[in-house]
Amino acid sequence: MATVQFDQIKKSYGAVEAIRDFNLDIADGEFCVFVGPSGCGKSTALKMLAGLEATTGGTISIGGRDVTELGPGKRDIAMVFQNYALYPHMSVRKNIGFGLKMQGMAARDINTRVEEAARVLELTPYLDRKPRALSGGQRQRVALGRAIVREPKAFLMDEPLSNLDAKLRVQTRSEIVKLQKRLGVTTIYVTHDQTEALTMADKIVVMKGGEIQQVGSAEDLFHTPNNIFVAGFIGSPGMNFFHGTVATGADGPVTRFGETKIALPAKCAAMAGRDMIFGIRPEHLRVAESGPSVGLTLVENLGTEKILHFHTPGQNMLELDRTALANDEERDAQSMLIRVIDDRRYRDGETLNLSFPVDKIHVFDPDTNEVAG
Amino acid sequence: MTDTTTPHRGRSSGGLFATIDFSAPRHRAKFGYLLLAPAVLLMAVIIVYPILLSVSISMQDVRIARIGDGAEPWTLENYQWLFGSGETWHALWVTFKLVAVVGGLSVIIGFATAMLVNQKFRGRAAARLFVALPWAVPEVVATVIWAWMLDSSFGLVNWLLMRSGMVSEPIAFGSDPNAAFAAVCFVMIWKGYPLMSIMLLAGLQSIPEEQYQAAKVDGAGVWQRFWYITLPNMLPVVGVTLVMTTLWVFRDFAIIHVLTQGGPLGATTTLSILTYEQSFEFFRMGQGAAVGVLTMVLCAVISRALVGRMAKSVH
Amino acid sequence: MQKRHPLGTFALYATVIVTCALLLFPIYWMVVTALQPSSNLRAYPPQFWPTDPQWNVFADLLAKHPFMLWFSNTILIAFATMTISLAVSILAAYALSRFRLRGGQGLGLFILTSKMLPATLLIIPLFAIFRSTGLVGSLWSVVIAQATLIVPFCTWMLKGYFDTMPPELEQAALVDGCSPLGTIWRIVLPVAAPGLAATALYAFVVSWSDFLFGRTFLTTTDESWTLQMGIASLKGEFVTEWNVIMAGSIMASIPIIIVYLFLERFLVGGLAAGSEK
Repeated sequence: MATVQFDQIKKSYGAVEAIRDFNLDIADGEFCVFVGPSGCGKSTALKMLAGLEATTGGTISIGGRDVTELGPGKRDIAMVFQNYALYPHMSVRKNIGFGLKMQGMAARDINTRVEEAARVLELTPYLDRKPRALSGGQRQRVALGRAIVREPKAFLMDEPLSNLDAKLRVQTRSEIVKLQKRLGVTTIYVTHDQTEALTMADKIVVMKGGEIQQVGSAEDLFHTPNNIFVAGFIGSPGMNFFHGTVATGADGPVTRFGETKIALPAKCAAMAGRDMIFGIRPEHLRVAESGPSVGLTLVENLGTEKILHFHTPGQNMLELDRTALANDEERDAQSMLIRVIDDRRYRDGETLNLSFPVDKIHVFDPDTNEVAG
Repeated sequence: MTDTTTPHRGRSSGGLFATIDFSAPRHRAKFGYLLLAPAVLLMAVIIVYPILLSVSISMQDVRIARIGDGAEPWTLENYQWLFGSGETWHALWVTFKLVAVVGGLSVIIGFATAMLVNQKFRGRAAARLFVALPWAVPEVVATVIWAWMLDSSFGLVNWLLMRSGMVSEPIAFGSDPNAAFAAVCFVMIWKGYPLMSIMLLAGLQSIPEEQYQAAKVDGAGVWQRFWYITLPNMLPVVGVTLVMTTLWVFRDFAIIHVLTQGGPLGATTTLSILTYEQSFEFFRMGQGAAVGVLTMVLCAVISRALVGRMAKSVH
Repeated sequence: MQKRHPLGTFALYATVIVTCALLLFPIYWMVVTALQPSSNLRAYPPQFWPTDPQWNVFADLLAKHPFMLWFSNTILIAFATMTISLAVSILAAYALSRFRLRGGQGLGLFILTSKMLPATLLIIPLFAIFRSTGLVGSLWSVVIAQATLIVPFCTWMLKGYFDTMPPELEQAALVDGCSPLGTIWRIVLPVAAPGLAATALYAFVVSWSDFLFGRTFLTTTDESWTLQMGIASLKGEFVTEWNVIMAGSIMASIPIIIVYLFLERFLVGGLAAGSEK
């Protein structure tokens, strides 16, 4: 058990910088998730921590010891891979015990530890099978067993759930969290799935283009995103964005959404006359008696909840490069979404009035994409 | 590089490289070079150096090449002989004829057998095994079997031909130039078609079944399916196998040497046979090397087609 | 699947059987000829079934020619070539497959190209080298010469195989504390066993079937000959005893035909993977 520090970590391939200015402190026993779209550098960061990739600059410490120049086997870590990387020619028993054998532990002690790990993971009946005779979920547990039996300073997990089917993924998710809480081992977990990040992590590191965008708890990221990327990436569906000029109204700052004025948070008073980007989450938009009226273009019924789509009014549409937004495949840049849970029936083409709760509106600077005010 | 400034934690028992930990991320690439070293050294000594040496021999007037005792002055005589003598052009012509006949017929037999054992039937595994069996028969053995079957006095083939009335007297496969050429073709095709069959079968198996089903739904008959689906899908594989067979015919020595020794009257003297003949029968290694260099250049040109394709898949 | 018409099934089986029979007839004829008494070989019409098999033809062969010596020479050469080529190519193929090395791509291309070198050219400089080093007439000369063809081929074939293995296996082993060399020994080689078997067999078959190198470097006495040279020499004599040649041919091909029958699956897979890419 140990703290993990990344200090000024850099990684470049020739002229291409894959990771820049990566600074991060992970506390002892913390469950830290690196999340971001593919190619954001999260896996590279994990591999550098594991010692499988060389760093270009900076230092990595585990438990206060500088491990930057040490081989993976000398860092006292254990890793779970996306494809599990079980040794196909060894039985489950040998797979789990391999790390201990490499440490030179006596065969009898290895066996005790392996059986204990197998008992915890309910793998005892399969100990003498080969990995190919196991189901996906069982293989995943063997990979976990290989990690926990070593009692390492840190667990490194690289998308360990992405090869499981949806139901098993949810179940295993909570099992991993429970196991981690019980063992108290510092864990660094990489995923592209924000649901996994939000449900599992003590600390979430959102990455994009080789840079950390924001570090924080699930609440922090959800309620106070630092920038447009984090706001759009976290939450499903992600935040709606629209463009508008701040004006001063009778009761404080306002902007026009379509033809209708909507109230803005008080901090916007200082931005009067400026063009800003506003964000509001789909679940915070309310269907109301009055307020801006929009025509629904699509109604997606998901059972309990419904996702309503409508076109962003022309003058509010973002001209922002779409990559600045999270690559949220669920909609295009010209639509906004409403998430409702009620018994009303909605139809395509129907016209609705919306209300924008003033305390739920986020304001971003269009020049920096950072949160404003 | 920062190697000298980083402290290494070496293990005491490691010998020469004890001071470098090759598992460390910064030294992993060195381990790669170390693994490559034996192969690079070996190939430098047994491939690169001999090739350079052979180019050098081809430019010297030597009868029996040696290294070390005072190299002869360099001369282009061997190349003058190479392009001036009818022997080279004749060998080139024989080689190309052989490539055309052997390549063409073995691709047909290979394709037909591959299609046959790609059908679904019981015992298919065994049929696949047998169809490609001649591949495993050593060339010399294959050659002596055919030499016996083609024997001009007591051979089976002549008996069959006479029995069926196709010829009135035995064909002298040993002394008639055309017949000898045909004999070489028989053996080469028999040895060459199995590899074609194996590779074409692999190609056939990689054609997605959906394409055939879609064609069936569209009402395509057996021939149309062959023409519009099988053939276009197989063309690249056929191309590769043809190039490989061509290279094999270009370079093969054992079959012709054992069957006809290049005769009669040079009717089966390919470039390979000419190289060997000049070097080890007439002991004019300079001239032999010149023929060999020409063969190498031709092989390189032919293989470019293949290498280009393979290089693309290297990364 | 559609049911095939019974007549179609019959036609398919008939075609398969006739095709196999035609293509494999030379092998059958080799066996029949070997077992015929010499007098029958000149019979008209030829005898298609050995009614009176003469097993002593094998004893004749062993008595009149140093056949067992040729056999052991061939085995020695084939094993030495296989072992040396494999040891070198495993390491090189692994390096080419797993490491992004400077010059690695160039080396890959060189290996590909050298698979296509004409052996008749290489024997001239090799002959010069072996003469200077006194290797002519030694089995080592053939082993070294064969390595020129077999090392590039094996390296390429194995690289193709290693490329199909997930690199995470070795990464997991490194994290588990295995040394890089230990990773190759404990993880890569066992997992690549089928590919290694195919490559080893290929090397063995090619080496066993060699004629050119033996013919060039082992001419001194017939005691250093290989099987293929011995069989070729039997044919050259004035009165050719075809039954004896065929008996020798059977013995020279049986080992690799057995190897082929058992391991065809691996070979075919390996060849297709190694050459199609």
